[in-house]
Amino acid sequence: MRRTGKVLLIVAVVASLGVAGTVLAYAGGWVVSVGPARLTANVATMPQGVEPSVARQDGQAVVSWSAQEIAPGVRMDHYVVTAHSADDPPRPDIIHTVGAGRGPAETLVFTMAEMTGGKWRWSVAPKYRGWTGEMSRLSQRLVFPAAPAPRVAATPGKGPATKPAPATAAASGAPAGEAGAEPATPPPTAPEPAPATSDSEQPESAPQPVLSAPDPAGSSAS
Amino acid sequence: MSKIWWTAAATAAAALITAAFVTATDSSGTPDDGMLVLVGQGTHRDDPLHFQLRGKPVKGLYPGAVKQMRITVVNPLGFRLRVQSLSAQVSGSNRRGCHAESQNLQIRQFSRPLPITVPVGRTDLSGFFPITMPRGAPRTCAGARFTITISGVGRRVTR
Repeated sequence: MRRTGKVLLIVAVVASLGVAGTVLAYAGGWVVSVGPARLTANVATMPQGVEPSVARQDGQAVVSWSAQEIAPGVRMDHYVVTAHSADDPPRPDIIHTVGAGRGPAETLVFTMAEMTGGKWRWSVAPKYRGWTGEMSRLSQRLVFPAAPAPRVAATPGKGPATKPAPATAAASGAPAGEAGAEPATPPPTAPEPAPATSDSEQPESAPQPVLSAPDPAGSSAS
Repeated sequence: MSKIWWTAAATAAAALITAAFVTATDSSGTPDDGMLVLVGQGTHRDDPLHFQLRGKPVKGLYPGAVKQMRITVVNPLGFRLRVQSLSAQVSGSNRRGCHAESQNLQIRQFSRPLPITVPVGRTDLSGFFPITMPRGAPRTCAGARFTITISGVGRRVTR
């Protein structure tokens, strides 16, 4: 009995301590430490431009490239398209900033007046709200023969064969005028007061188209 | 002799249990309603208990973007918690030219009203922290990684 009592006493004390410890822990006696909760927020990178494909059509350069996104589902809003002279000595670059279209591809036309008599390659850089991505690799080179006569000083009967068209930007599948927030200049098919039919029929007094970039603020020649 | 031992043991046990209950109900750090104050961040030594706040990283921020940072509460404490407050702040950036400041990244208040009661274990909260990149964020922020520190305070739910 005496031995049994001692054993029971020990068991009771141990059990009491266990219960007490549990209750203390439950009440706040333990400190469960955790590290500071830190999360990350990653900003998208501006992609490099897509190398454009180029083609010569009626003395103009048609530059095309795939539309790009800064994040899934978020298209670039502008593109900076640069014509780099491959002449020696080189001519100044021709830079046009155009609003993005809605389609999967973008197109920009450099006019005959801009291209004539030169060798050119093109690059494209995407823009989104002031952020500009890296310039793409240069396109293949196109060669444009010199015009037969100066454009402005043309005398009656010696004007350019085709009126130089302003640079136009258009998303495939969308009209040029709806290409983006800053719509492109209407394409060369826009109504003109006296359409020329040939070199010899171009009158001196015929209105000359003004070379204008689709985005006046972002267009320049350097 | 055995009676004495039995009496001593019973007295000691009763005293310990009584003391434990007094501690639990009276000195648990919450003088008003017997709840515990629980800090999620774990920076204060005096706070008795901690729970964890977790979340998924936010990706693909760009100027004008608003993303949702969802939070998960991990409650290892064995009783329900009432999360009283949640806060988040931009605490760092890995880019020199893109500091952790409101011109570059903004975090608004937790979208859901608090408090929120969470059970034991892991709970994905239905609300979120709106993370906004201002439209005027500089180009140097492209590709940056911001660190966001979140913290919260909760209380033990007794009933």
